[in-house]
Amino acid sequence: MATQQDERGVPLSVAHELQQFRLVELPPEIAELLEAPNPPALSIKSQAPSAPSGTPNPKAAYAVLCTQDKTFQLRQVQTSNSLFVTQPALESHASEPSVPTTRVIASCTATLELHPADGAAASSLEELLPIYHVVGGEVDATENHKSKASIFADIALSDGQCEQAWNELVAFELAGSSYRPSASTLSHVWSSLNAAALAEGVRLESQFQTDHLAQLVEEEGYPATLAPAIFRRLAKDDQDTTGPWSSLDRTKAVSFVGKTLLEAKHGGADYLTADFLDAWKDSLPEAWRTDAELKTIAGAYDLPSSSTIRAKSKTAAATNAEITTPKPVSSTGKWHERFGKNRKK
Amino acid sequence: MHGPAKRVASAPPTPSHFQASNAPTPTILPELSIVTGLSLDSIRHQNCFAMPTIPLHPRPLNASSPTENPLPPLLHTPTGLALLELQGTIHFPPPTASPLPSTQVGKLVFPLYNPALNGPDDTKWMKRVYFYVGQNQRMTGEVKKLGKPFAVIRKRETYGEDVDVGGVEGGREGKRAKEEVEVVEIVRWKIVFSSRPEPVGGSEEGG
Repeated sequence: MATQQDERGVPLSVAHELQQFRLVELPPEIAELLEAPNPPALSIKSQAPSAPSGTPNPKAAYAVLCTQDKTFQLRQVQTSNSLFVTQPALESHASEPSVPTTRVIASCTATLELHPADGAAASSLEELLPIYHVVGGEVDATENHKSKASIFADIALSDGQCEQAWNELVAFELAGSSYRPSASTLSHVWSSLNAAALAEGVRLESQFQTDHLAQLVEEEGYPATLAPAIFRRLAKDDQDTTGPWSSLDRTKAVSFVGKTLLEAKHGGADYLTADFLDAWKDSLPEAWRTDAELKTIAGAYDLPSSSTIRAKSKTAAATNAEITTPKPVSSTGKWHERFGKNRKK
Repeated sequence: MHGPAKRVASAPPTPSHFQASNAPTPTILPELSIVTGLSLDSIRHQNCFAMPTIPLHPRPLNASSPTENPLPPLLHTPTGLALLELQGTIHFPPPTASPLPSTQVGKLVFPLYNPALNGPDDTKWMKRVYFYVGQNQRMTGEVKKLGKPFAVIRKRETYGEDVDVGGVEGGREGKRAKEEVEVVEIVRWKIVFSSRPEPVGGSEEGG
């Protein structure tokens, strides 16, 4: 401590070999995370695939920083001032005795800022996952030879956000590839599930053995991993989806079955609203039938006429969401609400 | 970000010298290699087909324990790293044939720092820091709390075990470094010199 008051001050030196450091400005939540007793590992991912190395103008691949469940866009800010990183060192100059010195060991001309990024993990996943479609017992699907982990590595979002979108799409792994089921396949698997539950006296709202029902569905010719994917998608919020037990959230399930049925019919002939409601009710456990009302799938359908119904086009929905997200809530209407709800699930 | 030898080409013969700059502050979206300081080719090599994901470890692997830190305790960090901001660049003669790892360019003086007299909680001393550059220039600055703390990150020095070490190259050169980065330190304060240096008499010292 004597050194600081010493008239001679604190010697400042510059290392001849500067080190390479980056300075990252930390938002409070990241600072908190890093300073916790057992901080989690973070990762830096790339936004888009780059062109092969050696290309004169490789496509920009913006970097993002990911925590377990959040994503931050990295921005590089040039500083007009020089920022030096210093480290204490014992130095002796001009044959004087060694003194504690502050040594510049790195010089930074830019700093990095972190900005929260809300990417649409679901749309990225939809692009990367081939559709798994079963028609009349025949599987129609193109293998992508990619595991869930390698798919997540290709999306510049946190694993938590990818996982959420993965569950949202009822995606599943099968024989080294990953897929998302078509609405019609989902609809069939659900029917098979519902029938199996009825036959076995399983109440889907209470705890049941995941494997038991999944096996019954597999016997119908569906992938063994698909039924558990549906259970995860429809699990109660407090349900541990990694254990051997499942239990479904009634509200989620009723709405999911309705939307799936409607999407499965998408592009087909006119669908009478009354027929749809009947099919919907018939696809649900007896006790849930009364829940099948249009208001539980608000935002997911159009009524092209007074007696017919159809699913809202997914592409239109996606485009809508992209365009409207940055706008104020007032102009986004129910689409914004629907996507907001989906995200929170 | 290069060694000092490169900058020195334009340096005048004064022992050390200060050059002001007023560069704009553009913001860009950096690519992975810029953020991590890793070469894109090595990143790709590691992640053959997938998009690169670089682990950022929250703690350094080899935290060097600092020697005695001459700065006021407020500026101390576990690894001893601190931030110093200057309006400009420090130039100094090339360290040709110097056996020393560094060149002394000046000294920092905290003229109001006196915990014995003002108590350990005194913060007034932060308002004034002098940086004497060479014999006859002095900058006046202060110690400031950063609006947001800075993480100092660097490439993690680890070497793969599975790479062939023998052959002509041998040693560390032959091993391929794993592409990972780590947070070395989180810094909350900086010493800032935002004004240009003023001339002072060579013998005037300590404020």
